[in-house]
Amino acid sequence: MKLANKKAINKTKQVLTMVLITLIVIFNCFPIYWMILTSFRPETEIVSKVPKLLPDDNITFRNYRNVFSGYCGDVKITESAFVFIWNSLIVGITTTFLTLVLCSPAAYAISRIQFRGREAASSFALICYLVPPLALIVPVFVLCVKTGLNNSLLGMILVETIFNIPVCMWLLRGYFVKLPVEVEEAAVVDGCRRLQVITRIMLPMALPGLTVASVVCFLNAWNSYLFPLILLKSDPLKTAPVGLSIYLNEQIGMVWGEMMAAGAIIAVPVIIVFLLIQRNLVGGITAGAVKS
Amino acid sequence: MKNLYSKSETKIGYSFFLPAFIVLCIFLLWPCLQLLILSFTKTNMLRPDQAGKFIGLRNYINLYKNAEFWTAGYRSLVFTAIATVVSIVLSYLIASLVNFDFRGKSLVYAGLFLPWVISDVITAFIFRWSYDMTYGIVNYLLSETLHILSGPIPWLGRMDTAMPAVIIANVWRLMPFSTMVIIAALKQVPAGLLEAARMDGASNFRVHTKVIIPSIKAPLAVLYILRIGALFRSFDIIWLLTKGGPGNATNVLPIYYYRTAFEGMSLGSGAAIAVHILLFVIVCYYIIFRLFGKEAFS
Repeated sequence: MKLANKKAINKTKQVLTMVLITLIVIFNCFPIYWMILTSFRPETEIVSKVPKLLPDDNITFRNYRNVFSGYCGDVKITESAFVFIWNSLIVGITTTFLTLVLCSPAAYAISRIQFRGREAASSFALICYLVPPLALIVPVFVLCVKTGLNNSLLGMILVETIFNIPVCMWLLRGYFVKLPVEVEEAAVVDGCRRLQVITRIMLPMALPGLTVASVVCFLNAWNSYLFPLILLKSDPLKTAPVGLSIYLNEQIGMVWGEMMAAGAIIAVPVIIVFLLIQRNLVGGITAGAVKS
Repeated sequence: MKNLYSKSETKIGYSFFLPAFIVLCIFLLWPCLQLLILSFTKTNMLRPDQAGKFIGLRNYINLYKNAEFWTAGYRSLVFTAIATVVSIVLSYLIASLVNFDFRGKSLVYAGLFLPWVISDVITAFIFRWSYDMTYGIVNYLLSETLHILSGPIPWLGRMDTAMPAVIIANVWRLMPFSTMVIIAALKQVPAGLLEAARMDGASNFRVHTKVIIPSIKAPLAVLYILRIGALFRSFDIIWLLTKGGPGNATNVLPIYYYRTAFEGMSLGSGAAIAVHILLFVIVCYYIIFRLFGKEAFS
């Protein structure tokens, strides 16, 4: 009798826990859901006193059409969202490429190669990693104006690369030190050259780490707001977060539909990337991403 | 194994590390120094290419005489403290709730982690819309559905509600990351220790305070300090939600810094504010470094 009772209590406890977990997850994801739902609604429904929490048949693509043609209501206020996305892609992809080319050998050096000054080198990497980009907006701005790199995508790419190198270098270092040394040693004993060891043995092993690093780097560049805000002044050059944040602007009135569509446009590629590599990412991020 | 510091190893080591080293020295450490130099000059936003006039400590003295600098610093501390504590306590509760095996676990984890990829800009969009006075979902739920409020509130437009509203948006954005870190930490708690505590008839609360929290003390402390360092320099969400307003209600140091440098056109005094943000962050990281060493950062 008593045992059955206890079992029943355990059962209800389990059910309650699951209900609670479900509620938390729903609550956690609701803002994203709400953004996507709003972005497909006609304005008459968005500005209704009683918001409808569930999707219905009354959907429209007008908000997206507007954002993709740079309209707000019936007025053209900016470039098409395609322009901003294109700029973001250029910056994001180039930054990721440059960052990985520069930081992977360096990360390899400070984690796997025995050389004089290695400790100093790794301290240097850590210090760079901990410099808060926010503090440097003024000197970076001054530097870019002096060199004529402000208001250009090239300047943007350089700035993003600079701030991503330390992040990815430190992330990869954390990853490289965990790889087994024995394999490398065995290869050396077998007469492999150092560079062969790196290209034939280390590179394949490091691939998951490199993937995580490139994703982190791309997301950082894609989501970056402050630096493009101060560096890119003309509309055709703006990246997605800065270009599209014009839809959040009291001066043009609050256009919720367009604003949510703009948000969804920035979010969608990121969410897709997230879902594709989620399993890799969770481990990789918690292993070595301090700056989030 | 090859000789320690053999010649060829050293050569490869240097050639691998040098490119990144040079780039970082020129473009990262030099601007740090530049920041310090700028803070001693009178540099105008309209002619940033012209080196400013050296004015010694004038920027700093003016800053310390300005009451808004101190209030902004105080606001930053309050914002940072509350957002840190709330996000980590909530993360801890959620992490311990989901830390067992059940069906659909990976789906739940994905759901918990999803807001992490949502950028600050999108977070600001969503919360701006949700907080809207007339059509926002927050007012609707609180006043029409739950009847907690008697009428709608302009959350971001009132002196007393703007800061809490901004904090909530930041907490939502930051929680996924700390939840994941804590989940990872909880896996390290030795199962035998938990069992022993339960066998001794310790209550759930005591198990948490006496067993679990002490054994994940280190990662928790690191998480706390990192979070403090990160929040103290967070800009995007607050800027897009309130621009520091209404009045100066959410004018934290990073906002004050941006406004001074790029709207007040005074890059020199902006740099002086940035030096303080930099110092605060350095102190945070130094504490971690002293307590837990270099590995705490990876």
